[in-house]
Amino acid sequence: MRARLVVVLGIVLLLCGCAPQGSGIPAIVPPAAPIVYAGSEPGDDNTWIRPAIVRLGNFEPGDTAEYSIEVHNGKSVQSMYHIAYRVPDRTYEGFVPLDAAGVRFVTIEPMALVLGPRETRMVLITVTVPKYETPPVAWEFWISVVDTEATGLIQHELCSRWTVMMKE
Amino acid sequence: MKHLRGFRYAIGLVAALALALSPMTAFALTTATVTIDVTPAYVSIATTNDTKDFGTVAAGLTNSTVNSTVDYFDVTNSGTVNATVTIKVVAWAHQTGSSDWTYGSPAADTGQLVFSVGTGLYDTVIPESPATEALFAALVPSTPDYFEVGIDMPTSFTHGDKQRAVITLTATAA
Repeated sequence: MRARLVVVLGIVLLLCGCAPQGSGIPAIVPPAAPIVYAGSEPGDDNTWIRPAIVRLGNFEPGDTAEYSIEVHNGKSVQSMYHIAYRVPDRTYEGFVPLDAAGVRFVTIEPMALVLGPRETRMVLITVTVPKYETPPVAWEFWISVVDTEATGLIQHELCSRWTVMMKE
Repeated sequence: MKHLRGFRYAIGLVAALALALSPMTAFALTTATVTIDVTPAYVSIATTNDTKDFGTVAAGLTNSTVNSTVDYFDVTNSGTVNATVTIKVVAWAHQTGSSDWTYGSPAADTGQLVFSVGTGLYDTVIPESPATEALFAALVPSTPDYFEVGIDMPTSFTHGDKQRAVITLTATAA
């Protein structure tokens, strides 16, 4: 009788989560959506990209996800923009920066755009993790957009942040 | 029989306690669907003043106490999210002649750019790409901020070719 009670109690405690844990690493949570300032949209004469952040979740090797970013030429003349995979300078908490080799997971089409004055075009970003790959549980990369015909001493690089959380 | 009933009560009590005390956990069904969550905000920065000519500067001068102005460069976040802005420089390139300086701490034909954010101290080296240095942690939309750039000149020259270095400001959502 007592033995049965001990066994049942043990099972219940295990179900309660009192079992030894596999690791003490806290669960990684997706980055919080930032505050978006409505009403401060850039005018046609500003060069911009959109969206600022793309979060992919529930991803597993063999999956593919696609999303397009917009690139706008705010200049009054035609200009060429180079779009590239970029290793992030920093990441959201719990995410690791995917190194330069991570470019193999990302396809950019097209990688160069010639935009007329005030023109906006879409660039398709495809993220594919082959089945045999084992990327980190949570990783981040950036998509970089640079005006290659800018002439000033100060030039701008605009980046869209992409985070990927793998299915655990 | 009485013992068995007591045992069942014990099990029920322990199970009820377990349910009440256990953290609420939802177990989702497995799915093959990848989720995409997008913040449809704009990333954009603008700089009104985008050039600086230091002119002719003597060898060995540092921090460009000559020809430099505090808050010379302005950066405005023209996007719709707070922007983190970093700064880096592409190596020196000759504008006249055929020889380039080396980018780095002052030495023969070797110089670098430095910056500060409104202090006039010129105390932070602008790193050579791909390395970056933080400039603004969270630039608020429509609110400009400023920085100044100086130059650490080579200690000596083997040529007088005019040099140029391009600074890149990288903006992302903060």
